[in-house]
Amino acid sequence: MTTTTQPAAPTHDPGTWGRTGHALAWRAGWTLAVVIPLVFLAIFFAWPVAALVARGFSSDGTSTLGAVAEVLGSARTWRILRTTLTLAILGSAASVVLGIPGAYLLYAVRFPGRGLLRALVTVPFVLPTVVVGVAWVAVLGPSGPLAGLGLQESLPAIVLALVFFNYAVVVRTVGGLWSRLDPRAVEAARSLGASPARAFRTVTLPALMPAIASAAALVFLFCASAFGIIMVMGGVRYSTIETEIWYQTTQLLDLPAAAALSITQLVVVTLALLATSWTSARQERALRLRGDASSERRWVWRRDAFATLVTAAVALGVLALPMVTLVVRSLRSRDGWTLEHYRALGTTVGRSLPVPVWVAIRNSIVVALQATLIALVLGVLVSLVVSRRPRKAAARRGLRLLDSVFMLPLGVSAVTVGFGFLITLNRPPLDLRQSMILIPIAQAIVALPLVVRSILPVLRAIDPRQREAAATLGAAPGRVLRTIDGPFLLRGVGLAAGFAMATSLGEFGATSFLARLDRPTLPVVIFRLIGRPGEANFGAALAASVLLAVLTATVMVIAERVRPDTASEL
Amino acid sequence: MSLGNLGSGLAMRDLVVRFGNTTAVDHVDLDLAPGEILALLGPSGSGKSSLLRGIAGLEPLAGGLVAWDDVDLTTEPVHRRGFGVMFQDGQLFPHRDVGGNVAYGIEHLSRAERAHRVGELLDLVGLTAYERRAITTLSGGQAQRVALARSLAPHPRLLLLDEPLSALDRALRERLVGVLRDTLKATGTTAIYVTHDQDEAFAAADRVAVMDAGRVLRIGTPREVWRDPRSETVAAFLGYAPIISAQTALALGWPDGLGYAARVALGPDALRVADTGATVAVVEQLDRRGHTAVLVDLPDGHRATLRSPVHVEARHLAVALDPAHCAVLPGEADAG
Repeated sequence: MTTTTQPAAPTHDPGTWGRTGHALAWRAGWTLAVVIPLVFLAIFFAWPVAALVARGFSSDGTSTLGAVAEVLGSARTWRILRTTLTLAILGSAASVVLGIPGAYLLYAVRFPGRGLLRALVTVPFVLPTVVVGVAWVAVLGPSGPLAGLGLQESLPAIVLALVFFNYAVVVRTVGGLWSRLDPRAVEAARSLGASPARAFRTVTLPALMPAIASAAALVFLFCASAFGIIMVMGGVRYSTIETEIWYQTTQLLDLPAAAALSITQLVVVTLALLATSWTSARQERALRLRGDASSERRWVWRRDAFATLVTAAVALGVLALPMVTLVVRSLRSRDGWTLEHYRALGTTVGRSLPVPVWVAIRNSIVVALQATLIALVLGVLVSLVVSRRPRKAAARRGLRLLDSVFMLPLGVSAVTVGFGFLITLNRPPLDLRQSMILIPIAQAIVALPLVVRSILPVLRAIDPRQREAAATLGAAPGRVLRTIDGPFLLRGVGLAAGFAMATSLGEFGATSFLARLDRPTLPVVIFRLIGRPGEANFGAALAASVLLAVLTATVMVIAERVRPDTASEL
Repeated sequence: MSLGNLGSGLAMRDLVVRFGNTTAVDHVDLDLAPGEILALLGPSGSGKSSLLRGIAGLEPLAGGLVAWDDVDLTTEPVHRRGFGVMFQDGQLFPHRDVGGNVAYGIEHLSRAERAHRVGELLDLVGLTAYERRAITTLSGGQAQRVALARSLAPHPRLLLLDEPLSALDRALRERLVGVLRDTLKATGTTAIYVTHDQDEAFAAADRVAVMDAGRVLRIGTPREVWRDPRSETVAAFLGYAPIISAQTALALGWPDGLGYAARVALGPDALRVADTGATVAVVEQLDRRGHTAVLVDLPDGHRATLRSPVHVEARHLAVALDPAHCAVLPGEADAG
């Protein structure tokens, strides 16, 4: 036997730097990982939003409730609030009702082409809201395939667009849970004499309820803060709180009124967010119950007919129709097939724009890269910190608090963030209004919750005993982080970068406040083009929308390739 | 710092591990000589895994000290103790291949030395040339052997094995416990082996410690512990049943010399058919591999098992106790 029987001496020599030094550096590193994102969030999120709220409660330096009372007293405000809630309720109800059969078909049933269909269903969610709006205008507007229905600038049209955008959220959240349900629970019910319908109602549906509730709350949140879709499709008849804030700020320059509306929006959205976090906590508990066996079954017409028909109708009528129409109409003019709309992207489209469209494309890509970098650095730090499992109960509570603090931007609308930047970061001590950096920062704030939600599940899936095993093999904490967390982190970062980049490319709410006239991003340009009359402008808007859609879809496809199994539910 | 009185090898004094209000390890003292293998045996929840994690530094101590060669390690972080741990489910790193896993703890060696050491250890556990295999392609037994090789690679001065075989099926377990003991002995590794399986403990260890409710009730060589469990709890856990009074034992033909309060624990072969002794009723007969288990009711009402090579025809049997297969427990004040 060549192995030595002599126990080896410890391989580490503390040296002059010493153990205390290492421990201090380690502690300092983690402290920075907490402090840097917190400071960033405080300056670029908490401060602007707080300043906005303060603005609503004081006019001319005196603290009053005047502005809020005035805004809340007007009939216009109540009509807008009613429209906002009606759209949010109808949009989330329709998404859930249509999404559940889709979740079943795409996640609990096996059939050829399923992967492709799942991808198709996901595309709308990452499409920029402006593109979604333009696509529906192309379908329902003058000379669109469904122009005869007379639905342009109508409530049903907006609800359809909201379903288009949020269908994927329901399908993926509910489907993700459905595919991991233990099939033996249904089998047990069936063996006890339950019909398939009764087994579904009494076993499957209750098990899915946490995912359904969580998806519904999330969709409600997205619908209540939808901005781009309403801006493009609402016309003069439909405005929501979000669009009204924009209108009051940029068109009427009534900042106190806008601030009061922002506060109203904050309340609505915070309530929805509380419901989301409450239901997702329940879902995490429920997920622990899942067995290893998969409940996937082969497709059978007799059993799956209903789900198949509903899903096919949604996929064709709600998802594919606008996307196909958008592409087709971007390639057509009165004289037939043409590339002239795409050629127009190299110009200022008959001087409708201050710069050629390709400059806006370049701006968008540069800004998106900057925003992605910022969001990734912050998101990785936050995820690493929040994924630790400290022994002290107080420290665990602290981490949970930190986790929810970084979810806040999800609850505060992008319009509020943009508006807040406008009134706080334009004078000393921090005058960044003239520098382009405000746009990527605002977009990074908007993308941060998605980034954290992509990385955190991957890190949390690491069995803590993996880190223990590494430590018992002599790995110092730094090496454990690098060799155990590192490989998982890299896989999560791919998906997170995709989400951040896609979010940033399509971001319209905050950007519409911050982009200077001569430095627009692509969504800003599309919005400007669609607001102008004439076939050339509309055609260029379609072509630019196709380009933006292709750009974001490409980013997401690349990100999905590196997506780990345990990634987020979105 | 040297403590000056704890001797070489592992020493634990007054060790306490708590989870909230529960005391998992309750003031345990234990010493281990270099090269010795100790099996820590006990029912689930007896605190044996917590004791192991306390020694490794994976669980903070609520009190007491852990020392090696008279040096206090109580505040030393896990990675500086030089103690290896082999986990129940291996905890191999899924993103590294077999060789990468085994080499994890010896990255300070040169590439050639590392490759040599990995090869040497894989030979030792019978997985020659498995270096490039992915972790996901291994069977349960192979994975545990890789885990053993990985934990031995950095020459740990103490190896802590936490139920290393309990996830495997019985036949594999019986074979691998031999591989484990041979490997530990061949490398001269001092080891603590946690298990709830009595056969595994007796097969693997130089000494056995039986734990219950956070305390070590009995420690000694397998033979000493088996012959003299000293408490009903330990006797029952080792598989003695039933435990009868001295009066009943005398009625079953026990030779004289039992204290009035003594109790007698019956091992698997304690009862045999005899002319002397007492007549008992046959309750049921169960077929076992190689023998028939005859269930009988003893005069005091306890049910006991008698191993018989064949089925018994009679409804009643005359049986006697074989003292060589019984353990005598002191009366009252049961240590458990």
